[in-house]
Amino acid sequence: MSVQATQQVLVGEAGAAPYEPRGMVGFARDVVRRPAGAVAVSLIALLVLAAIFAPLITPYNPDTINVANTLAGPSLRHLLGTDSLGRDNFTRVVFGTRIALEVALPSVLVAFVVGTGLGLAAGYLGGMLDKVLVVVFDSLISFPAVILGLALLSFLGPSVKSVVFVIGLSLMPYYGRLIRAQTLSERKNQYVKAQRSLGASRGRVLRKHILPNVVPPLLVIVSMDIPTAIITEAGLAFLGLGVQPPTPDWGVILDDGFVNIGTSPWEIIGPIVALLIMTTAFTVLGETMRDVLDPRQRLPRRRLFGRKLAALDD
Amino acid sequence: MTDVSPGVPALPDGPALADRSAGAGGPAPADAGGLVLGIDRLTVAYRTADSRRLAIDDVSLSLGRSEILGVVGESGCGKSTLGMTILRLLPPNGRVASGSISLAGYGDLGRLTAEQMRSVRGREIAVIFQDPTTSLNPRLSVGAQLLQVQRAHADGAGATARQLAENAVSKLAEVGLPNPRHAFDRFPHEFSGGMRQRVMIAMALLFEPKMIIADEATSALDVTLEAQILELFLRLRDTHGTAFLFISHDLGVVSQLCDRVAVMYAGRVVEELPGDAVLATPRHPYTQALQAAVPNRRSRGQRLATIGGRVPDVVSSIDACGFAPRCIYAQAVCTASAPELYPEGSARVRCFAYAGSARGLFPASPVTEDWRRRAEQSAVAGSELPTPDPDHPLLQLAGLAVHFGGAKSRFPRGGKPVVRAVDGVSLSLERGRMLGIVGESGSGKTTLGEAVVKLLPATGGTIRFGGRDVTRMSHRETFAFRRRAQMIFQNPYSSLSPRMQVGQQLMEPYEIHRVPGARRRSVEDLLSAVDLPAGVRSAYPSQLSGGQARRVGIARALVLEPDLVVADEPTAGLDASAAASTMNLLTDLRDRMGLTVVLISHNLSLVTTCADEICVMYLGQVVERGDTATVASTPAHPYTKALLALAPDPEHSGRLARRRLLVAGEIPSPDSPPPGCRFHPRCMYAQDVCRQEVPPLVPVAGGDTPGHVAACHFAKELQAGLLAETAAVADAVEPAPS
Ligand code: SF4
Ligand code: SF4
Repeated sequence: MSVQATQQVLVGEAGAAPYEPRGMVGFARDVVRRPAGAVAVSLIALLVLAAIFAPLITPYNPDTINVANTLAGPSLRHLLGTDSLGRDNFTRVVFGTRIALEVALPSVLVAFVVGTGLGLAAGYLGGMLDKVLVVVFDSLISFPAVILGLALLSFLGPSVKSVVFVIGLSLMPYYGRLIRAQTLSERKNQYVKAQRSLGASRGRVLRKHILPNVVPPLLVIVSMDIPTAIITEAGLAFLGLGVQPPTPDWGVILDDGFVNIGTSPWEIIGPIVALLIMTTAFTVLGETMRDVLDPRQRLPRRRLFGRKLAALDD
Repeated sequence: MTDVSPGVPALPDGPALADRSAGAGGPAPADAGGLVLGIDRLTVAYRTADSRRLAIDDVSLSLGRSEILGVVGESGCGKSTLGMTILRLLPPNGRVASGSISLAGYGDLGRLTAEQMRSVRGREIAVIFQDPTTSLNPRLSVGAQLLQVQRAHADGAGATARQLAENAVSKLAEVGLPNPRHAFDRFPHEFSGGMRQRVMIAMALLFEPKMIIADEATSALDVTLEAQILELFLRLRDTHGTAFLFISHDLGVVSQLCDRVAVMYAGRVVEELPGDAVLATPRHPYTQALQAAVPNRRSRGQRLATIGGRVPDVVSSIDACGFAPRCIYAQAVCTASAPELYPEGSARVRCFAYAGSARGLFPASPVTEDWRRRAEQSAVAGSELPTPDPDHPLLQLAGLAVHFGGAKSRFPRGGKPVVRAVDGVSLSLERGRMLGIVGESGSGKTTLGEAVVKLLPATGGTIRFGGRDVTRMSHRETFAFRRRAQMIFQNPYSSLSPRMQVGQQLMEPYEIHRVPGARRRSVEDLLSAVDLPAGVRSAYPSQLSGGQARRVGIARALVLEPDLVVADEPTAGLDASAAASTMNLLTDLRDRMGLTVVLISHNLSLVTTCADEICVMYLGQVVERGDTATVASTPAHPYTKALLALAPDPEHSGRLARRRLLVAGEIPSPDSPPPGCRFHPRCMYAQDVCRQEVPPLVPVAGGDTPGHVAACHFAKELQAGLLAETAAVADAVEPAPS
């Protein structure tokens, strides 16, 4: 018999059950219940706490220069040593968390809100508006992000605000496109028709019914994009286009650290580890959300499933 | 249990069988040489996250050569698991706990290696599933897929490509594809649903298997196509001696096709009986209850029986009758020990009412009528209802047309022809009545329903609702109209908002229409009106069963207390009992609250049972309309007559093999309706005049049955039984080329 047919039956009966939509609270609970999700969420919480309580964590000021003690190695007083100006490396990394989050969260949030709004409008209202928005999304995407960023930043002048704007602008069209596609497919569902037959207005259908269905998949991507935003931010700073020294920014520290890498390699360790932790935490969070939303997409499970099938045949 | 009598299939007594196979000219099953498949005390269990579930509990069955064995039961009774177990394609969490399955020439299938089993699948045992769309690869031509299947088996490689292709084409011809060589190069999407299912059957036939497992193989098809596929199965059985295991939820279909039927309940076979006896003389209370729940000729105008409760999840083999909690005859003995299969006439019944020893405990033998009677008793007496007022119908359609595409389309000259989904429909419906709209898919009945509640714009004609023209309503009038006319959608799950709790969804209509709090009914109240427990309020749609989701859909449609409800296939996808209680609910609402209902269904038996009036649609037009009793007893259009003939009938069961199909082929595309009478290419009475002149929709029978109209040149002759079949279509048992 047809292979697809039997697969169909198998997946239908044996595949993990598709996610049962429960409210947002239920979704959050399901994410945190998974070990990976719990670890990711606690890591993120730690980072946020570190950013908020940075002055309480270290006794130093990130900007205090101590010419007497430059490029020192790690010691009990300076966990990660000091930089070329004698500033405490650890302190600067901790304070760097602030900048990272201050840039990444607002930029992704702005992209999320604007992208969702435009995507919903394009997908649900259609017509001329849809055509125009699709062109806008596509042309923004077709610009290489770096070029766009370089051009805009040299025009706006480097500052936290302009970095937020540039990163937000480069992410927004992706979200817009995704939400538009999701909205188009949701719109075909009968519940939209049912709502119309009850007399619900378009705005109401969008707000109360389509929005809660298109946002969760986007949350996955947003979470995975936060590290991208942080790295972009650090990258721009590294290139000297983003946040400017002496601000304790991971990119700035890296830039500085590379200059002195021959004499003291300690300076770059901090930002690298911090970037790794932050990237991993948000990525794992995103993956967990995806698993909760659609357990069948998980790759390891699929391989396991294949092996089990073979075992069954033996 | 001693179900398997080796060598000789346990065939029931034979007049009906002999009659049937003789009529079809095939070998009689009994003398055709033994058993194809023997299932011996099979037990299958599924492991779930925290427990075990017994899907099949000590089942023994046998299948003889050329035999068609039906397996029926509600969903969750283990019938699909049976098919998968035979193929050794159980999902990873399923396991054969005990028992064996043996195939003639192979012995115990459980002992075969994976390699051997692979060659058994497809070569010896083939499967046909319900949905051919998901079983065929959309990117490969039909021919390529047929070749692939042949090459996948070892000796397929020896044959030349030409031989394989010849084989494939001959199978396509055999299953009745109009132009097999042409079809070979087509892609799945170029076929209609019925034709795709034929392709699947051709694929199943490639190696001339000993047996075919058909798992709900015709459930997604219209009655007319279903009848054609069943006919094809019978022919294959006769020409190749193929045995069939026909798994279905539909008692009517099973009774028409199968030689022998096993009724499954909660993993056990509760009754084994000849196919014709399923509707005529069911013995087991469960079979009887199922029968009483299915609308048929006898149930006209009556309430359908329902079975309380639901199929239980069996954890381990229980020492009691599994049906006892739902059985109206249950006695103490039923929960004290498990019944065996006791012989009773031509059947074997797992019920103490037929056990020699325990018989005395039961006052009388169980009969189907008891379930019906109980259903009638549960009916609530009607209150004061508005008397129907023929002069002021609630709903009146005049020349309603809904066309898609064409000049009004966004792509003016895209080359797409106008699809005339609804093409000039006129009818009227009084308050408090139920109008049934019947037709195959593609007849435009759903489009009509959506146009009536203004979900689709009418492109012509008028819809008068309480005297106002719906098609000309302003924005504000439409908003007010939505309160008074509601729709119950076909798919209960997708019509509910997936991320909103049921309770919240039921309050939505109030919020939309800003109904003041004092005039709102509580969620509990709304739920109990459709017999749902209050606990459902906090559930999300995906947590509901099909029947529950349907009821939530109905409850939501009723929140605003509309005057008119359009119910689109309200029983689609439901088990017999759930379908019956849904229909009882709708008829109760009509009888108690004077609700006006437009019932859209492809199931004529259902419509004749529940509706007051019938409107038969074909290709966007009404071909016959009238009082239910009149239309059902004296149909005046060949199409109505054919649909009536296809409905299962307990008094004349097993007619399929002996009878010629009254309607051949498939419904043509509504973008190019045939000239003259639109039905003529499929009509067995068609004459020259039919091909040229459009028959008007005119009153029949000289006015003694007012309101009975039909669009056929020969309506009177048809009613009088004077029409002769014309030669052209008489041999159209083979599907007509489309
Ligand atoms: S054994 Fe008892 S409970 Fe079971 S079907 Fe028969 S009468 Fe009903
Ligand atoms: S008009 Fe002719 S073709 Fe049409 S239904 Fe009547 S007999 Fe058949």
